[in-house]
Amino acid sequence: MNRLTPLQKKIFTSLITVFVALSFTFALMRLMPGDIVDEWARELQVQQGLTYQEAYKIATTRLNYDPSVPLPLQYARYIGGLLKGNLGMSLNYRIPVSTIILKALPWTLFVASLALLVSFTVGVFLGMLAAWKRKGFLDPCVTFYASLTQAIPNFLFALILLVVFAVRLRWFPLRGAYDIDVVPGFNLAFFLSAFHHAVLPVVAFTFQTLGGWALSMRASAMSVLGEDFVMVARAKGLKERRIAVQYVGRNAITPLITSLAIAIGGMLGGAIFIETIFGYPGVGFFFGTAIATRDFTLIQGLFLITTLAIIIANFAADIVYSKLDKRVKLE
Amino acid sequence: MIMPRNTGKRLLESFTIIKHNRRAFFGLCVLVFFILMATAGPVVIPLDMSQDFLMRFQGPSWAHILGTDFAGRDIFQQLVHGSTDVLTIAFATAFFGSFIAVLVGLSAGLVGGKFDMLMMRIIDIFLTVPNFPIMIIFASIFRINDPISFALVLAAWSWPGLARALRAQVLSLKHKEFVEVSRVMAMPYRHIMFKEALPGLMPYLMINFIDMARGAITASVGIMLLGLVPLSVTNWGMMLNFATFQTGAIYVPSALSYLLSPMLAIILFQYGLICFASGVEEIFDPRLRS
Amino acid sequence: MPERRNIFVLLISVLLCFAAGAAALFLSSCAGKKDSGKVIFRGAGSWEIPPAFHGNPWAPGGVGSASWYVHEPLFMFLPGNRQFLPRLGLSMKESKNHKKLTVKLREGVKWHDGHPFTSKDVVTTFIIGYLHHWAVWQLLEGIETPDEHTVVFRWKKPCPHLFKTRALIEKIHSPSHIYGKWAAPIRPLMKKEAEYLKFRKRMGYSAETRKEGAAFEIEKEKKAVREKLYSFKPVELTGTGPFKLVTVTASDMRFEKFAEGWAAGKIAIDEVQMARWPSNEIIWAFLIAGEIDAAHPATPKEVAEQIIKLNPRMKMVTPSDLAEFGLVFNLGREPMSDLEFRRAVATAIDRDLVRKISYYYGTPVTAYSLGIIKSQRSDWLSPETLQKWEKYEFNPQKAEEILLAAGYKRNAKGFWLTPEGKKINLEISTLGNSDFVLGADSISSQLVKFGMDCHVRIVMGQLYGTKLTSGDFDMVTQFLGDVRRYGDPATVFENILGKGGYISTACRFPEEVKGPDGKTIKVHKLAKELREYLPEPRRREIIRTLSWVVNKYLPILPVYEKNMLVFITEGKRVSGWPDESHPMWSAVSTGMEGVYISFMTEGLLKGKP
Repeated sequence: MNRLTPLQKKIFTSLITVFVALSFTFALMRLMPGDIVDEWARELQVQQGLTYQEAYKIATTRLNYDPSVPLPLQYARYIGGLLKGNLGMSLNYRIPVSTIILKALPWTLFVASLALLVSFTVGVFLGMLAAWKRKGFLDPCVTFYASLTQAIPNFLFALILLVVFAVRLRWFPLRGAYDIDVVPGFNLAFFLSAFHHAVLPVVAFTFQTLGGWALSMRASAMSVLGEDFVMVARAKGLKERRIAVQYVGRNAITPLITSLAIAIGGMLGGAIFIETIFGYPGVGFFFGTAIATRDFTLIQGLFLITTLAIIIANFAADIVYSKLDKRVKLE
Repeated sequence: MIMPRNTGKRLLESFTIIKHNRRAFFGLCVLVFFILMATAGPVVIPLDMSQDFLMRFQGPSWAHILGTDFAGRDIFQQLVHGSTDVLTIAFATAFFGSFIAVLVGLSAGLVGGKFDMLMMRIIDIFLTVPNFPIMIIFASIFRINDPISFALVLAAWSWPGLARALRAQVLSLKHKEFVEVSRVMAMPYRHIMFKEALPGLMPYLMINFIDMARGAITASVGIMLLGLVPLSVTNWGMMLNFATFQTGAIYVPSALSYLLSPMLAIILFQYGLICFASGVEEIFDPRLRS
Repeated sequence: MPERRNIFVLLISVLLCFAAGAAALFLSSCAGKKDSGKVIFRGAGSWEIPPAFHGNPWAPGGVGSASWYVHEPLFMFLPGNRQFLPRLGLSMKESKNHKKLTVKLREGVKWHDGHPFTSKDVVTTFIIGYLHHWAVWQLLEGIETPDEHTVVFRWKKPCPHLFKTRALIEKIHSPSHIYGKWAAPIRPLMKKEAEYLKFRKRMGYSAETRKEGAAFEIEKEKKAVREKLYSFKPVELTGTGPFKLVTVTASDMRFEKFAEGWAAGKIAIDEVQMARWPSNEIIWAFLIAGEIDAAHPATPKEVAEQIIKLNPRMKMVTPSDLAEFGLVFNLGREPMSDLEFRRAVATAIDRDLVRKISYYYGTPVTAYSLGIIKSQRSDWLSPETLQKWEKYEFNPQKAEEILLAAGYKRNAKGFWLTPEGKKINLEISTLGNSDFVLGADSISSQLVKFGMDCHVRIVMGQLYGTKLTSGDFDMVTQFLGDVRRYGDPATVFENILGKGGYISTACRFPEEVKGPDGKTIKVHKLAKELREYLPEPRRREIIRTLSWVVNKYLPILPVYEKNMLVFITEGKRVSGWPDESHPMWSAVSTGMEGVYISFMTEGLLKGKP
């Protein structure tokens, strides 16, 4: 164990964390209390005018989970499948989980990464500026903007965007990932259509998270601004822009890198409401139905993606961090 | 911890700093306003929750400063009475969350080694495991009856992110000169943590504190929807929820006040805190003072 | 780390790409959307998105709302005038003893893939329905096909209206030339199960344990056949309906008119476009924009008025959804266990106010508490009968008198105490749906005003059942009296008063109660009897008796009858929407799209004038 390089040790511990997180998820899902068949029975009862018993019988056919298989055996099968790269079959849809993920994940990644990229870069830039010109007009503007956008519920903001830009002005489409008449594939029409349809979801996502990044960067930059080395750099007569970027910026951004890593990991969950409102075919829809139908394999598959995303992002953040600040060793 | 002898002097000094910083002073006023609202408000202003259909969605008037909601009830009264729980939960969540984050983050960063690794793994588990099933399990077992336990539940999900960021900060600080000097002088970690490292981290810490406080208001709605706490119509987040979903206030011009009032309260709350925080930053870091 | 400027340049170029793409498409979309001259109907529905979507109506993930446009039942039932409209079935006849139902099928009907529609398709659908525990099989003995255009349903016992309707309104969506091979192994299973059930009935329960696992084995076999069926995931949706599904994405569905449909001559709509239903708030936006022609979101009063105001072509109809919203009381826990307390609560609540605040377009139920919804009350109860029954009109004064007479008193602060001196503290448990929450909140604030500490607690759907069975509640919000599809109160009374009924177990209603003349009414027995075929006078008598029991003993308190809010656009793409009085509107509770389709089939809905 001691002969492993720090990098190798880190990879090893990350894998252990993934394993533990997945096991927790596995257990938690099966420990969820409440009778889901009862919930389905009640819905059926109302929809189809049945008695509860009649509805319950029908509802039992929906649950594709055999509780008689002992839990350790289920667990062993799950882990065994994972190691072979097999995510299993969706209990509810009876198609491979990997099919669902491969079809839906790219759309979520598309929108979420675009949104994250734009909101992070613009937010960090604004935050830096606000901290730099502390006594100016920009600082209160940025803070007020952040407070405003963070207080509006995200659903509400997306709805306003939809009503103003898609319904009233008709600049952007109302829903969907691409125009229904366009054939998906490697053609220009498809790409243009996809971008056109992505604008509103990305803007909705960006507008709100931007404020948070700006505030964080502003605060972080402020703590760095007071450092001695900044004074020294100024005394040395270095250009303001150089001090801002290479001295203050580089140091101030470090805690934000960890937040960014966590945000990347949380992208998938946060995208759910955007996908609902804009009818986007991402994994958000499947998150909802998987939990509602107790589709354990699908839930586990989706959470595997989330877990991997967070762990990899954190891993990358630690590496970036050690590169940024050479005094920090990769521990 | 020994109280410094010149506490009174320090407080007066702090107050002067804030008074001179216009924004911080504004923030302080806002904070005092909200604290008064939460403490004295419910005593001074009566709450009439009887429903009157004809008084529905009235605009602001002398009788109802902010107008009425979907049941003809005064919005301002509801904001005032809701502020007690809302602000208690917000501050308590932010306090617990920040406290745990500081404890875990700083100690993990400073102590390092196996302890650090263990803490990091625990944090990662918290970050990756879905909180939805845990919340449902909670909902079936527990009943939350007071704002403090409410805050603890909310804080449990907010501390990991901050802890990780703080640890990252500490790792870089560790090699800074003043820390190395302190270690050479064999100062205890506690001293290093609180006297040397923490002040520099204050702005970042404070912004996260405020973020947790505001986040708690939104999150409390989710907890109510899960059934862990009884429904509270005067909770600002719940008012916003009602305005957006249940009553469709977005589409109704006369209902705009019901939608905007809780939003403005939350915006003012957050903005005021941030302004006040800029003054607090100056207290902790003399180099930032003009 | 690259200079910040480089990142900024990157960002600007990304944004420029966005803008360019958006502009390009905006221009192209402007150019492309010519008026094709086709008559298009735009609606909204829900379905599972690709890659989960497929054309097998049995397997989870398949079909969704498309079923309404693509599949058809034998008959369409109108609860309003209890009429059966011929669809795939042309006429029906019941034998004298009501044990045989003969249905003559429409001739010349084709499936979308060209195969002819025959009686075998009906049988295939029902047989696979057996595998899915279709409720109609409780009474169905078997189905025969004497010829290609006749289906005979044979019943175990004389068939009441409820089961007859169940058989006739089921969508026939499984053609034998595609699904026949899965129906084949089911028949022997049906025989096996029938024999097992006979055996169990004869031998009683002890034999069950001896033949341990027989029921389990049969279920396992059924499941195996189901799983085989579910593995069939055709891309095409096959039906006999007036429209064919052409495209489906995560946000839209497109249908084309089926040129060889039996009603094609009358249908004036060429294409149907469905948007996936995200949430009510967004549907309102679509409606205001004139983006869809018909939708039925639950809408507060002001929003509905805004929608009508902003879209001059918009009309609104409010046919009944044949269901009520109300409270269920827990008779197993104090103070709700006290009838006098329940009477007081019923009189202390202004139900009309609750309706106004939570669901304005509902029809308030202000005087009684019956198991029958208000709009169908006159079908079963005459005004003279009702006059003699106890009324629970809003009267806080009377409520106070009832409580004082029963031994309750107010404390110094004005809060009510039980006769034992305990302060009354009530909780209303509700699901999270907005109208339920608003209703519960309204009721609770009224009770607080009356002097009882009351609060609302939301319960998650999956924990709801446990809550009811555990008895840990005072009041629960619930849909009551829903006769939805059949317009027949049999299932309702089974639920409220029957043995093992959903509401009766929750509220712990006793098996027998005292009647108006002092004689015992065996409630469970009567509710069960209502499910049989009965001569009309006996049926009416039982319904009258059970209604009286509900009104007297207050296990439930209905607050308002739910009306569907249907927004229809007249004259933008389609026109000809019939007036609200048209009997077809009464079928909205059986399925909204079914009503739209029948307007199209009858030739009422046409293109722009």
